[in-house]
Amino acid sequence: MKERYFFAVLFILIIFLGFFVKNPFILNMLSLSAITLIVVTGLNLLLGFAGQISLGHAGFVALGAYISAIASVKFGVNPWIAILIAVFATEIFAIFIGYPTLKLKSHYLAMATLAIGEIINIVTNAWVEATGGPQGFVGIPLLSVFGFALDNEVKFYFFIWSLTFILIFLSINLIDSKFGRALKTIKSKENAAYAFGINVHLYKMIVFLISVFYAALAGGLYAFYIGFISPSSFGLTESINYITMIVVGGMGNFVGVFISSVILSILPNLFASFEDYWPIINGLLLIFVIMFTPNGLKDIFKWTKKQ
Amino acid sequence: MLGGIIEFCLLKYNLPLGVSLLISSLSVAVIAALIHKIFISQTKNATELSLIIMTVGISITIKGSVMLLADKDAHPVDSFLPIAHISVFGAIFASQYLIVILFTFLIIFLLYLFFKKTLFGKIMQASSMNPLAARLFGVDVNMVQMLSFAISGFIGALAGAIIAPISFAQYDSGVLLGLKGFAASVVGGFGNNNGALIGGLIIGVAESLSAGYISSSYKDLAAFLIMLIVLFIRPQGLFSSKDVERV
Repeated sequence: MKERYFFAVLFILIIFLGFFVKNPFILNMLSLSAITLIVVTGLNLLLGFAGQISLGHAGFVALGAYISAIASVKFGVNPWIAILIAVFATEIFAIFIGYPTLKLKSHYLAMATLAIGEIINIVTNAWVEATGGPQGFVGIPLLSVFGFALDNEVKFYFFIWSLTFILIFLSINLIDSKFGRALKTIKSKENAAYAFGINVHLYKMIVFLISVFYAALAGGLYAFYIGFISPSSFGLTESINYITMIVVGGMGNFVGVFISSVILSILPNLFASFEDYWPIINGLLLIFVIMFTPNGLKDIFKWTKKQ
Repeated sequence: MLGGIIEFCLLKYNLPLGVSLLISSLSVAVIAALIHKIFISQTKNATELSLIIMTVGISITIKGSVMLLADKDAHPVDSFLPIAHISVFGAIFASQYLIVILFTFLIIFLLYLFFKKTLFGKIMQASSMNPLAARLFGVDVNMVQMLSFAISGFIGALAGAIIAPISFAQYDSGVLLGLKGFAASVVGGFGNNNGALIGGLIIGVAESLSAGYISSSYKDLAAFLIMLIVLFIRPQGLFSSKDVERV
C-alpha cells in the first residue's frame, strides 16, 4: 500500500516539474528516462519477482521500435496502430522464443536470452533493405493523441510520464494479486511451487510475455519520439544497463528500481564525455551491489540509518 | 578475448611465440582465480541468479578496461606457422586452422585424462555434483572452485590466443565466441564433451554454408537459429540421453 502512495506523490511531483522546467534538454532527458523506466518495470517483473534472467531485453525493445517504424513509414499505417502491430508481432515472436528457453535454468537461461538479443541485433544490422542497417532508420513521424500532436518536448513529457505511471500501477497491482504471489513462490522455491499446483512453466511464460509487452511498447514509443533508430541503441550494453538498474534498485522493489533507473538513465546523458567509462562503472556497480548490498538501494538506506 | 589481447601486447615486445602464448594463458588463469578469490567467494548469501549477474558485471568491467587500455580497433596477429596459407587439393585455407584443430584435440584429450584418470579431476566432478557431500569427504570446495575458474580461464585464453590470427584481437570479440561455444554445447548436449565437439562441427559447417549460399552478413545467425531449433525440438541436445538441468 505504501508503494502506491509513494508513486502517487511522485506523479504529482513529476507533473509539477513539467510546468516549471522550461529547458527542453532536461525535459527530453526525463522523457527518455521514462521510456527506459517502462522497459525496466517490465523486466523487474521477470527478474525481480519471478527470478528469471533475460540478458536480451534490448532485443525486444528493438523489435518494438523497428516493426512500428517500418509499419508506419513503409506501409503508411497510423502510428498507434503501428505500435499495436509491433507489440502484437513481438509477442508472437516471444511466444516462440520463450517456450523453449524458459524451460532452461539459471546460466543456461542467461546465455540463451543473450543469444536472442544478439540474433535480433544481427538482423537489424544486416537486413539493410528493411531496417536501414547500421546507418539507422530515419523519417519516423510523430505521435498524436486525439488529434493533438505531441510535437514538442513538453507535450511528450506529460504524455509519457502519465503512461509510465499507469504501467507502474498496473504492475504493482499484478504483483499484489494471486498471480504475483505465485511468481514469488517460483522465485524462492520452484519445487514448492509445483507442490502447490502452480503451473510453473505457464506462469513463467505469462510474466515473460508481460515484460516483453512493456519492452516492445517502450520501443515503439521511443521510435516515434526520437524519429530515428539504429541498431547500436539496442545492443547488449543496453540489456546490461537494464539489469544494472534493477540490481542497483533492488530486485523486486518498485520504489528502488524507479529511483535507480531514473538516476542511471540521466547520468550518462549529463556526462556524455565519459561515454567510454560507462561499461566499467556499470560493471563495478553490479559487482559491488551484489557483494555488499544484495537488496540494492533498500540496503543502502538501512545501512546509512544505522551509522 | 583477454588471451588474444594479452598475446598481442606481448608479441609487440618481440617475445617468442611459445612464451607469449604460455604467459598470456597463465596470466588469464591467475586473473580468473583472483576474480573467484576476491569477488565470488566473498559474496554474502549468494544465489545462483546473483552470481550470474555478478559474472556479467565482471565481464563488462574487463571488456571496458581493455577498451580503454588498448583502443577499440581490431589488432591483427601473425599466423603461428611460417607459411600463411596451405593448399590441399586446390582448396586454400589459412595455416592457422591446422593449429586450431590440433589444439582442440589436444585440449579435449587432456581434459578427458584429467577428469577420468586423476584424483583431482574426480574431486572436481564430485564437488560440482554435490558440494555438500564433497565437503563432508574433506574436500575444500572453495579451493576446487577457484582452480576450476583458473582452468577455464586458461583454456579460454588459449582458445582466444590461437583464434586471434584468424579473427583478430579486439575488445569485444569474446561475446560472440562464447555464445557460439554455448550454442555448440546446447546442440551437442550439456555435459557431454564429444557431443559438444560434434555440435561445434555442425554449427561451423552450417555457418560456412549460410555464408556461401545466403549472405555472409547472416553467418552468425546460423549458430543461434540451430541452437533455438534444437532447444525447441530436443532440449536435451542431439547426443545426450542424460537428464538436463531443466524443468
